[in-house]
Amino acid sequence: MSTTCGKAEALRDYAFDELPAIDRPEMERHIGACPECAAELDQLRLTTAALRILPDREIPQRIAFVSDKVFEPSPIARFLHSAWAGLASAGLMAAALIFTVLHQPAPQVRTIIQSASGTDVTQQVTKQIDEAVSRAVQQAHAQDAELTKASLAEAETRHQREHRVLMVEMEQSLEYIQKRLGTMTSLTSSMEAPQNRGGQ
Amino acid sequence: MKSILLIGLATLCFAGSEPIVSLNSLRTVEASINDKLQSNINDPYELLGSARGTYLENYGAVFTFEVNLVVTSPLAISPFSQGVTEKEVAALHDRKIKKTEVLRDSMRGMMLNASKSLPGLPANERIVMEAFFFNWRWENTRGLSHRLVLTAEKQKLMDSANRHLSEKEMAALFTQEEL
Repeated sequence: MSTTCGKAEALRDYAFDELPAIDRPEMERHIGACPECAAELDQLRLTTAALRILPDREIPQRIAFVSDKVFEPSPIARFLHSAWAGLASAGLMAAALIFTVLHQPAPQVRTIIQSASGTDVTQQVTKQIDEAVSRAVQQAHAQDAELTKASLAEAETRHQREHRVLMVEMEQSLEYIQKRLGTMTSLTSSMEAPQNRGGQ
Repeated sequence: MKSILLIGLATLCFAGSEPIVSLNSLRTVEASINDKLQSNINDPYELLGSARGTYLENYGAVFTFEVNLVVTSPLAISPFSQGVTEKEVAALHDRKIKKTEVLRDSMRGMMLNASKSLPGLPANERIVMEAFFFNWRWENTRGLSHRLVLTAEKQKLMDSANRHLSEKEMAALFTQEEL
């Protein structure tokens, strides 16, 4: 924060209401005449407003210093940070690496890749993927076929059962109608018989 | 030749014996049964087999008929119908139970009347009336009879025909069999 007119300090005091009341009219006139100070005043007011938005927080009760004993390194840490420890750990890691390399069996895939050319590897991988996909598709198809077969069998059984029931009921209906017709015929003929006899 | 002689002999033998219960008297009782079963206008029976009477020698006169106790249309089970609900099945079952009792009382009355219409029937022989009941397959037939057979001695029926009988006396007069 600096102005070329040399009134930066007075402007800050004015912005934070710390300028004496006697000097305030003169400062206000200057701000009206100096665009640099007017812009600076705006910036200061903006910053003030932003600071007022922030919530008030309490200062932490305990302030620790680097010189406190808490931050003092332990003997183990001191050892680990020492150069000797660095050397020892490097040696240990080197030994572990050598042991692993010597005793690890070579992976099969690596053998294939090493023994085959680039095109063969791609073909083999593609072939294996195709086979796996084909197997999965066949399994899915087989499961679908079984499900469909079972559903069809169930539907067929249900249909046959319903058909049988319907046929039996229709048969009974026919029997009923035949009986009704037979009775009506019988009753009509028995009513006509006496009349005929009477007529003769 | 021998068989023709035997047939001729048999014809002569049967021609000589007159049936003691005439066919006309049996037809009269049949007609009265049919009329009675169809006369109930408010709650009719559905006559599916008209009354048939026969005389069994040394046993008595037997009358059979078939009814549906409650009139139900066969269209109830047609593909055009919406089916029969459980409520309707239960209601039909209840009605049939009640009407079985009503029909039994009617049958007793018809048998009392029949005793007067069968003059040729020996008094010590029986009058039997058997009702066959028609039930749809979709019906609840639990507790429903398929047949109701009432048997009574003609003499006892004639003795009681002109008297007012109590329910207990009436029940004692008949042998009832429900199948």
